[in-house]
Amino acid sequence: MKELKAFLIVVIVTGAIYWGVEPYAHSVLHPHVEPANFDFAKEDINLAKTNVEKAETALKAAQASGDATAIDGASKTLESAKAQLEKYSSFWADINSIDLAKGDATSGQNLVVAAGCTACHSIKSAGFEPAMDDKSASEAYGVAPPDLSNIGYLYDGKFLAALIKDPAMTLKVTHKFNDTNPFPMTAFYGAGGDLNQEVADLVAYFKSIAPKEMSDRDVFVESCARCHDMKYVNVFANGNKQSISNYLGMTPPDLSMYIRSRDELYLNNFINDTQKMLPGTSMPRVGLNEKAQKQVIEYMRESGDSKKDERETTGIYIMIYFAILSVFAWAWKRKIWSKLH
Amino acid sequence: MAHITKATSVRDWFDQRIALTKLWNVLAGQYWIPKNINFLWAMGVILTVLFTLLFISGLLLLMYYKPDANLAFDSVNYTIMKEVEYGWLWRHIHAVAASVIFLIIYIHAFVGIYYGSYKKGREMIWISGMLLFLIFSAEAFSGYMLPWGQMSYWAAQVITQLFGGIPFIGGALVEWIRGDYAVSDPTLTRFFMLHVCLLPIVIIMVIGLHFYTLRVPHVNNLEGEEIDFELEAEKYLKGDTINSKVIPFWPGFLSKDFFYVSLFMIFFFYLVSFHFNFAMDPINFDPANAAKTPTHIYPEWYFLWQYEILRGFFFDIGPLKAADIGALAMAFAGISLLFMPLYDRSDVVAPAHKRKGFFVWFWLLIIDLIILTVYGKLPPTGFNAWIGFFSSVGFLVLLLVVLPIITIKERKANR
Repeated sequence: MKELKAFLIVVIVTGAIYWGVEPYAHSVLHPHVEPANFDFAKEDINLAKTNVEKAETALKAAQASGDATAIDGASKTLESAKAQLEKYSSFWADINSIDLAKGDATSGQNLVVAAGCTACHSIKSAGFEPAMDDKSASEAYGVAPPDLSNIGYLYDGKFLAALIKDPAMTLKVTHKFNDTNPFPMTAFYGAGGDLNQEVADLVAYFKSIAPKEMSDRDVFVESCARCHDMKYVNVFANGNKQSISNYLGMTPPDLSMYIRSRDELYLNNFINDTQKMLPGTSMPRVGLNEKAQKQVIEYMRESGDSKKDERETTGIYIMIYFAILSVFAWAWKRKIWSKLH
Repeated sequence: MAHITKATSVRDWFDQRIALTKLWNVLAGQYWIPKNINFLWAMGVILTVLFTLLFISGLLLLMYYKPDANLAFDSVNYTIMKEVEYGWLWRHIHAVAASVIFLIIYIHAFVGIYYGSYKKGREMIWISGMLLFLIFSAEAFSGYMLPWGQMSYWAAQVITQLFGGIPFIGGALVEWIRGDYAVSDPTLTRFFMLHVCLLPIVIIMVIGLHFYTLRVPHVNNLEGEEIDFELEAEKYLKGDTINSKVIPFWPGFLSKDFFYVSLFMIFFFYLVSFHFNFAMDPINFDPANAAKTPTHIYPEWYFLWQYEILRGFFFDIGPLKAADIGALAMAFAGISLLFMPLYDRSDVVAPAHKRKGFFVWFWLLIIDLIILTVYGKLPPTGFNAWIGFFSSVGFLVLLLVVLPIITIKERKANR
């Protein structure tokens, strides 16, 4: 009994240290964020609201300190946070008003050419070959424009509609691009008819040509590998590295070990909403739907933690081995100590 | 020359030449351990097992690891973790054992403090043990650098920079340690040498010394009772094993320890397979990048209390710069426990719960160390900085002022 008490004390002290150094310190170093939300309208408005709240708290703290420059800076931050909330609220209200169910794939097919999508984008599965190779394309645009064959698989309809109407807003790169430095993909202003109907038609077309299934690798390559390498599984960005670097302001990191260096939760939140996890980053919000995002993370595991299954089954076997050994060791100890007690 | 006769058995053949039976009796068969002990006395054997695991897994990793700033990261994370069969297992065993061995070292050491096992003839056990702690710290630090991840690089940068505080030769010394102006390839290769060659040799030698120092004063027991080992051993050898206060190392002591080790291994492999992030910081899975400082730099959990003492002194005092006071305090904290037999002025050997003042002091020290450890990881801003300051001062005062006072009182009360 005394031995049990001593053991409990050791467990409690060790547990207190563990709790402080791991879960508690983590919660301080990486404050909690709302989990990834694949309804991007809700995600964006929630984040904008959170940012307004944060800015309000910061302003109050600045006012309490009485520092004039701090107050000035904090109120400016609050203003821009409020403006951001307004912008995203009206933007998504507009997108939500589009009736995607009324989209007509056939007129969408005509629009793809008429609206000029194929001037920059290839749609290989529909016979539109790229105008230039990836290297030249990345030199021309900063990063090679994506092929559109699979976007109906990777993104949900509402996100595609938003992306067609205002790419910079949807990808959350408005802090980098403006009128003097426009985002390479221009917004779609319509081909003469009802704009929202045309957007719905385009979305319907992309959905109609989308494949039913894609491999994890293909999803990863289409979603991430126009900028990022993942050398441990032989994925390399398909453009001029220097142009991509210049375009993004830094060389995008190799993602080989990101499943271990960032963990699944962070990656889920980050891919879902880059600005939430790393405000000011030049990486656009990826905007994948839930299924495609799961596939991306699965493939990152394939690269950086490929032995997870083996580790977990082997771990169980080793633990069972020692559990059995403990029983034998206990029996042996009893035998020896029967002569000692 | 001994008189050699025709051997009656293989054992006899060896006995006549290398006194095998005698050696076995000295090392295990008639090496006496008190009977009155509990699981806390199993830490030494658990440590030996962990060190063996580290040694073997280290040898296996060494077959694929490449000590080169350009190759190190991929040799660990690609070759060992992906290509080599069960490479992940050896790496995880190595990393988790390196972390867990410190937990057990701390338990081992604080059990020694709690039961007063560092004094009255047992000083050399304590001193050789604390030497091991210091060399293990150097071994852990140099090993942490080898995967050449972000935390490897920046921990090396921060810790080697500390030597810059030494007057006159600081700058030159930092350069000499790094082998370059900044942490770089020559730094990696020299720490590689220390980790896989020099330090393990020294560790094995000091482990030998540590074991040897136990022979004369023997292991302490749950009550701090002074046992006449020769008398009790005689009793045991005459067959009165029940009434004898001692047991032989083999099989009495080890049969108990095998049981504890087996249980411990279940827990250990749970950590290795399912719960390893505490020992393998995610940040270190980003390759070293001299141009990008991580947002938070912190050492492994077992160095946090010393790290917090380094950061605890965050303001200049007179001509002394904050960084230098911190570095001095940390340097002292690192070796401070070595001098336990000096701070403790009483020769009472008894468990702390039978020594009132000492008991309070012991738990205050533990609480202070927990606070230092937790705040060592948190950013040292605002309120946290003051907690760091007071708990750092607290550590020094507890050791250098409080302990001598309460033990002198105890000594006087006992007269």
